[in-house]
Amino acid sequence: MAFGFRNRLAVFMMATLVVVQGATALTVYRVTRQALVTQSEHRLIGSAELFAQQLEAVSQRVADSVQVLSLDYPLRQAVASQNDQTVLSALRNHGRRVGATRMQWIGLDGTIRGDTAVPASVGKAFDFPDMLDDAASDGKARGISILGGKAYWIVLVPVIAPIPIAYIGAHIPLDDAMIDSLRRLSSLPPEVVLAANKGEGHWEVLAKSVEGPDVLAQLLPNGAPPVLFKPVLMHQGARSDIVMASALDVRHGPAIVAVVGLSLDEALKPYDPVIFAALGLLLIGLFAALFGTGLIARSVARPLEVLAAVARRIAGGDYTPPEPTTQTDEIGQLNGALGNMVVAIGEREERIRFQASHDAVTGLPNRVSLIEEVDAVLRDRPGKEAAMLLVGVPRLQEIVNTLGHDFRDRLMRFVGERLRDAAGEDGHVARVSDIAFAAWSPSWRQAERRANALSAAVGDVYREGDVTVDIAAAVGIALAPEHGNQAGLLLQRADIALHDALARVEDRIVIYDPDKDQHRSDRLSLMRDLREALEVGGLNLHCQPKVDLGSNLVAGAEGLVRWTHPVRGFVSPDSFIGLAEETGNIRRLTNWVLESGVRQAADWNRRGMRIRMSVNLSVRDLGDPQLAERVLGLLKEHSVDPSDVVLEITESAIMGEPDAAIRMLRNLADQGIDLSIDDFGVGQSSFAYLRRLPVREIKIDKSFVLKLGDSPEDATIVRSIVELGHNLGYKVTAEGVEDEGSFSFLREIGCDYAQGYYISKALPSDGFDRFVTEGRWSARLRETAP
Amino acid sequence: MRFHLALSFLLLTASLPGAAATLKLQISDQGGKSLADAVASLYPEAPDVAPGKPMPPHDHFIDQKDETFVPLVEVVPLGEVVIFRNSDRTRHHVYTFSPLATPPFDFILKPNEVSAPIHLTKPGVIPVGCNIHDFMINYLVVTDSRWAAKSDDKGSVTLADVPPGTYTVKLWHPRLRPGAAQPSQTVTVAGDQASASLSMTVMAPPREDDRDHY
Repeated sequence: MAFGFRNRLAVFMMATLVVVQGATALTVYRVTRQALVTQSEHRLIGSAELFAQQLEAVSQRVADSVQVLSLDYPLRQAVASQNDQTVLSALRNHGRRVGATRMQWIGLDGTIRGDTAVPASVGKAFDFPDMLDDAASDGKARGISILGGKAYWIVLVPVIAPIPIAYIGAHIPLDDAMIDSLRRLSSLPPEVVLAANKGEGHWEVLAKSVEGPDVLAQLLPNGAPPVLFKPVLMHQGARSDIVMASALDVRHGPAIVAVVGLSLDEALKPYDPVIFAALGLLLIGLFAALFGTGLIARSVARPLEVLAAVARRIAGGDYTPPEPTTQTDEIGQLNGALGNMVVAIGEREERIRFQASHDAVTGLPNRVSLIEEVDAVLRDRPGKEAAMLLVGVPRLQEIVNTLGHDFRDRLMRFVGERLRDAAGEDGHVARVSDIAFAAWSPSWRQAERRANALSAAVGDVYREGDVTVDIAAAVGIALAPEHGNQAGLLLQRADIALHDALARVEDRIVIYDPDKDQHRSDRLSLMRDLREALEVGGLNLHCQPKVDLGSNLVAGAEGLVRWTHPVRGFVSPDSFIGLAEETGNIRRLTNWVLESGVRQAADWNRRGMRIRMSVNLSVRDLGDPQLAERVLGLLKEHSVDPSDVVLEITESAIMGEPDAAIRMLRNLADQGIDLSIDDFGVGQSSFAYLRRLPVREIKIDKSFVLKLGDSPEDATIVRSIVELGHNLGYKVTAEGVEDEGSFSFLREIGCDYAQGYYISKALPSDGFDRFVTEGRWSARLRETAP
Repeated sequence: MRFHLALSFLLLTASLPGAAATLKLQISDQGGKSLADAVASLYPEAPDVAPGKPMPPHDHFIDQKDETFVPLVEVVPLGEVVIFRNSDRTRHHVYTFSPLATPPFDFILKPNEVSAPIHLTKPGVIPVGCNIHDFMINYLVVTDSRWAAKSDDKGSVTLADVPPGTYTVKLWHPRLRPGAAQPSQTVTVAGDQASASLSMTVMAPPREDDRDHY
């Protein structure tokens, strides 16, 4: 808020004030000035008239004075008696009285008889002869004339003795002093100038007021010819004057104007205090505006700032509604709206947070939430013994398959409620995955008891209407701090234990065993190495011979992948195959085995041996729709008869497979490829189920065969399987044949093939060749072979 | 400014040869207005004109009344006597600077005082004033003419016993411009009755209120 509302308002108001005040001041100034000009013009007109009157009056007075002195008897006597010296001295004396600088004694014929100032003019004609007549008839004559560049009143009076016997002329200068005394005697404006027209617009200043400024004197010579009897505004530099000129009645010589002037600036001077007052008022107004806008802006901005603070607080996650205000204006409405918004946001965020931290199905805290809680507990009690319990329902996948996901959800809700009720306050029951719940035990000692309690809580049956499902609980336990001091790690480890527990039939409470757990990163790097081995080599196909118990010939072989890790050395197939299955790499591995096996079969074919190559398929391969195509492609590529290849699938892998997989297997069988059920006997398959499959062979699990010599039960089972298989049209192979007794027994009961260490372990390609050529067992040969 | 005299009309009648006539002159100013107090003096052109019967000499009294010389103009034949008389209750001064008065007189008259007789022996106009009252003025027209008279209020001058002949009429008036020459005109008289209208240029009369200024 660099330039906030308050400042904008203040600036606006002050600018408005300044503009309005300025405009007002300007208008007032202009009007005042105009009024002043008009007033000054009127005053000047009056002044000019007054000046003319004054001049006239003074002139009259002067003339009268001269007339009076002309009546001085001794003067008359002297004039009558032509006493020149007496006359002149009397004239000088009288001249001083009237302010004349020159007195003349003029004869009736107009000849100058005596002159107080210019003796040389004696004998010459009087300058203004026309005045003589006027003086004779009117008793006096007067007029303004210019002599030698100066203006004079010329007054002429006859000397009456008692008839006119001569004239007396008086020259009274119209000079600065005269103007000034005139000006001071009356209310004339300070500037008075007498000027004579010199022609061509030039005016010569004859006299001017002493006190007044020199402006007019400067103006006139260069200015335009004065407009007579009309005020004119004249400008000289910065100052302005109103000037009015009036013509004087000039008897002789060029026109003379009397110019009166008023300085407008002088006239405006009395208004200076007004201007200062206006400025002061403006200043006061500005301060008042500043203060007022401050108050107003505060009253507006303050609630806004409060609301802004509330908004910032909301952004920061504080959802306390703002204090309700009593304001009913927009601010009040905004405040109310903000309050409602805060409540709504709070509720919504609460909901989102709940959804984020809880499982939608069961309403229990979810994994993230659990981790937070448990981590908090672990932080509070570092190093203390505690346990993470993970509870799952065995065979859940089968239930889903049979009854659907909705049922699973309801089941899990049921289980979740039970678990929550059983675990209690500190149990932290949460749903951490689709199939698992977690619970917390604050001590090891309680862990197993709690596990049992949870199992018991889940119970062994779930009823829903007519549907009744047998359920159980499996519990995996990870111990803190032994198995980890973080919730995530504990969960992961408990999960491993849970998987173990889920796989069990009974005693489904399993504590995490670090030995059974392959380290995750270890497995990851192993996987990476396996992919590399698949691409650049490093895997070998070993073949374990299968002996036809009827002919004692090696009639088949099971292809088994072997991996010699460049660093680790021999890697157990169980581990890396399982890893490949878990990590989705099994198809590549299967492909490799298939290709190697087919190639091996082709090799044997070429050398006239009829050995059927068995290749293991993973349960994951069954989901591969391209598998049949690829197998057939390989056979075709290597010119191997489909009957020379057997695909082995474990019993458990087939169980529950979707119809698509079965259709694929059937497709393969239709192409002449035999299917074999591996590890038969340990799974839960039934012959009835197997009947749906295009199976041609079953391989009895080695667990039955290994102890064939010692266990009559196993012998019975094996015999039963063989008989049953034969009855159903299957060939039967026994795996894990390790001694002569077993071998003989199998032959006795009519088992078709035997496979095991008694015959040979899995052999590399060259070893297999030597085995069938150099050893006890020979390979079955192709009938078409030479 | 020049003055002129215009003889507008001259009518002459003669009854008896050698008998004198009465000449009536009508004097007016340049505007045609009758001029009072104008003095006309006749001077024959031919020296052979009989002088006729001389007028009996008498003293001329000039009254000072109401601060005025009465009369304003007094025609005084040469050699006759003028006596000033103060009829006011104030003093009056009587003076002239005219050299025609020999010597120029200058005296004070108390109320009801009568001056000594003054012999006027030179022809011409002698202005007489009062230095106490500047506006008081009197003109003594001393004439050497046998026939001289002043006009009455109607501007008429009657001259008796004028023998036939040709005369120069000299005119004078107080309002002649100072220093100007006396206008003159020739008239011819024949028979016993003669008249002429004469006009002369004079200055405008002073305003009546001038007197109040003093």
